[in-house]
Amino acid sequence: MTDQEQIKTAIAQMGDGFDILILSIPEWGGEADALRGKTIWDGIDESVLLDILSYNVNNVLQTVRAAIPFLRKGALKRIVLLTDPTASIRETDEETDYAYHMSQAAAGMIMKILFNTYRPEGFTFRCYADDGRRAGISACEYLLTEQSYIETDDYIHSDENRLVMRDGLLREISW
Amino acid sequence: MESQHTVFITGADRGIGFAICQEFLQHGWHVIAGQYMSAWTELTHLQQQNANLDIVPIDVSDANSVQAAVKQTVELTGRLDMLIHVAGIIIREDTPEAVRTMLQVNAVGPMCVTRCFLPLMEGGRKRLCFVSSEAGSISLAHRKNEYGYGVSKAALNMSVRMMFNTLRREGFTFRLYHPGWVNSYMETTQKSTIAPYEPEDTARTAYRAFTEDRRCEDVLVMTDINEQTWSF
Repeated sequence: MTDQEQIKTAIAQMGDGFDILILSIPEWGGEADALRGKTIWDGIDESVLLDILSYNVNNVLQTVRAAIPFLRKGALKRIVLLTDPTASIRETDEETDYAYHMSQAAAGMIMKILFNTYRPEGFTFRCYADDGRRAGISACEYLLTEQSYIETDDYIHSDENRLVMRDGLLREISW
Repeated sequence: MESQHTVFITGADRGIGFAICQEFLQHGWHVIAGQYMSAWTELTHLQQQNANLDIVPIDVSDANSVQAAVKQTVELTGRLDMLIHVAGIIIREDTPEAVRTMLQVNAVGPMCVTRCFLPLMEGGRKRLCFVSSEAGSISLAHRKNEYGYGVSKAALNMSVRMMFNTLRREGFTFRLYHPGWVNSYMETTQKSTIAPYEPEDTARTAYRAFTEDRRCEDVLVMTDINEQTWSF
């Protein structure tokens, strides 16, 4: 979905409010296949790359904007990003599929700016990196976990006040 | 006697890019300045004082323009030692069109330029330099708006990481640089006056960062105007 009105309509159909918004970046589909397996040497078509990147980023941004008023009425006020460990700019050793990985990095940044903006009003955030190994807890389990938070403590003394990406074994993956 | 080194610099018209051109010229490099705004005359004036400066038009968001720039560069030099990506844009709104434009110029453009210039760099020093920003550091980002700029720089950082993964083992070395808050022209035709640094300040540090070799080149690092290291 990239049409703002379509997104608003879809979210409004959820009712007065909801608790959790789950975001993800599609791995493949459509034009993305034209870039599959290509390194910087392999004649990447940057116009296709831009189309995919722009689609993914704007889709996430518009969905979040439409959802915020409804999340405010929910109890959890939770925004979730389903991603994978190759979204880590620091750690990834990927050489191909630029559109997917650049989109994942962009989605991480969107989560961070959302966190900066909405955490002070009580929103909570989860980033789950699925490494495909079926080990540990699932995304569904993780997104429902409560992280340590004591309102009267120092801000830094709380896991809920940090935006972290974790895998199924709850290992933190650097951004 | 060591032969003269050659550098291509995008976004060289004014601000940080122009100051970096001046810095490399002062150190005796052959500078090929990527010009986006032909009506802006600073580069032309600089060329009148420097035989080591060539000007090549380039729009990093247009693959045809990039290919034409490569062709012109080949006519000027048989070898490129360093490629410096400075061209960038910031739009203080997050409409879909604005976000797309920032992704195009800040993230996809440098990839296109790198890909097209790579063959010309094979016989040279093989150094790729990217002017990024703290705005692209997910762990340290403190902004509460300007999604488009932040995501474009994060996407740039990811693309640099992926290019590093491929090109480092082929002998390329990388520099990722946060220039600091500099009085520049990124949003208007008027140079800002409220930042703590001038373009010449960051160009001096950039020159050192871009030209000096490191003990270990197998680690991708983002450094800033104060030569401090940033997570990215």
